[in-house]
Amino acid sequence: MRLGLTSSVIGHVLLLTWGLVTLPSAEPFEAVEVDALPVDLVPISDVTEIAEGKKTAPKADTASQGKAKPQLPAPQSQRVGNAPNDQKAPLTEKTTDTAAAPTKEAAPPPPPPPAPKAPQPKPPTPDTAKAEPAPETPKAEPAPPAPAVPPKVEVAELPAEPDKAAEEAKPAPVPAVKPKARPKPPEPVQTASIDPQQALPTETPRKTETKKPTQSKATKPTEKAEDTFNPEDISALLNKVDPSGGGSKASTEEASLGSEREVGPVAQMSQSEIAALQAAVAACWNYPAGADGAESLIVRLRIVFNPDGSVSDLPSIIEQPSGPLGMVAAEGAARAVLRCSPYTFLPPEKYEEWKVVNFRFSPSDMF
Amino acid sequence: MNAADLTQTALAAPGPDLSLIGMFLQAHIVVKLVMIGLLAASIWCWAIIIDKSISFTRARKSMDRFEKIFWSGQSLEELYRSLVSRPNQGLAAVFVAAMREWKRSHEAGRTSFLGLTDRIEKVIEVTITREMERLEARLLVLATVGSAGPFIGLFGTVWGIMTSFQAIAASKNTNLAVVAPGIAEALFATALGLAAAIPAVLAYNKFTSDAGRIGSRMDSFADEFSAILSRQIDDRS
Repeated sequence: MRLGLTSSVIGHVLLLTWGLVTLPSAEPFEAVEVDALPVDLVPISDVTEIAEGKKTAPKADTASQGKAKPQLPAPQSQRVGNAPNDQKAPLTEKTTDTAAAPTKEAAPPPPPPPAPKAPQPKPPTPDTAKAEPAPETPKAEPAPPAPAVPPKVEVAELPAEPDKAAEEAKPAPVPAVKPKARPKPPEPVQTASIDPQQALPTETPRKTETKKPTQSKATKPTEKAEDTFNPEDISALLNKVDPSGGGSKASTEEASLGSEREVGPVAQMSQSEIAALQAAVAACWNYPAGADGAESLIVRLRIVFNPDGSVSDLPSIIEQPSGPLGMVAAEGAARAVLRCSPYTFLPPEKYEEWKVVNFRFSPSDMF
Repeated sequence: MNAADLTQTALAAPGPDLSLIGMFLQAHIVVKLVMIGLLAASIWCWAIIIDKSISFTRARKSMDRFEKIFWSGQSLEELYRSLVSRPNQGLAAVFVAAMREWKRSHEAGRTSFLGLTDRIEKVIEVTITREMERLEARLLVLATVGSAGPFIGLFGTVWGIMTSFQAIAASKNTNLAVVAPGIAEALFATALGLAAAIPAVLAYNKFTSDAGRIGSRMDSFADEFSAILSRQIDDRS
């Protein structure tokens, strides 16, 4: 018995000490890091958009990020960051597009076309336009009202291409037009808001619409013209892909604050902005309160806004309640929209989001 | 056992320490007693298990050896003389007891063999019972620990959870970080109970069946041996 007891005690002691060594304490649970968005309480006038960037970047960057749109073609990067080498897409320098034209002047450095755009989106266009022959600027400014301008440019281009003397002058319009056409919505909107006397919102959309046709039209003639002239540009001509800045993320700039996963829209109207719009409209709405079944009067309007926040047209009624009372309610709603007209609190940099708003008037929701 | 170690670890790791020792030290006194009791039970069970497994293997081996010698055709007298001088177990003990009774009846010089068979069978029976008792001693401890161990551990767990809930009520904080250590150390008691009970149950079942097998072997040997002896008696009378 003594043998059994001693060996048992020894065994238990060994087991306990082994347990002390090997399982000293439980491993803490590994909490999966959620891609949390840094939230600040900011005034509504500030930008509530989430931009691409790094989560660890200083928060103060958020406001500037809203103004510096990610569409900037300049840094050739998907994300402004300081990663040393990080490339997703191959760098294509030229296309069949008019991008081939500027390369002719500055042959050795292929990426000049993006380069002029690089520094900043707005200033370069006027600068280059002014630096190049003056006639271009007048052309560009009358351009917005008349959608016929792009054809004009083409016409000018086609005959002009052959003479090399005129070439210096000609390529200028191309980049001058391009920066306006290339960067997506925000730029036209901003230019429009800068000089509001002529930039009517109805025109800005048209302008953006005409972009595609102008480009496609422009490409065809230039192709034909260049086919004969520049054999060294054949590779560029064969390349039907749109010019891309490549996927490099390398940049000396510090990464901006944002989500590292490229999810979600970059700019969206925040819920509070929508609510603010709703509240502003509701304040002006005299709905037939005493009428029978007034709380079930639901009207849906389509409102088209100007960039300055005013209503550009009479709101069109999408849906109205049946009967004369319904018509009264719908007209009252449309009037309410017009009465409170300049909705100045709407952020101009998100104009694309609230350019056309389908608005639902429901007394039970709004009061 | 290693009290020095306990104090050392306790001093070395302050705060909510979830190691085995830490959990033991933070437990309520009742849970501590339960844990200590279960640890002692486990130690005792394992002592019994080791002891029994040794004695059972020895018994089986000695029975094998004895049967080999017994059936080798050796003279029973010689065998008796070689075995009587030392303490015997199992079959040897049965054989020696029967032979001693046989010898005594002869030495008394009685000519009548009446009742000798009965006497020999009685002696054999008593010896077998004694042998079986020796083999089965302390197996009941295993049975008890096996059946009661989980309950004792559960008692410690319930008590520990009860106190930890009281602590929650007192601290008015339902944070899981407050609740968890108490419950963990309470569950440790159940773990100890199960750790003590599971080997005890397994060993109890094994040793009971082994003891039964040894007992039936001794019974069959006793039957054969008494048959031999009664044949002798019949021859002499």
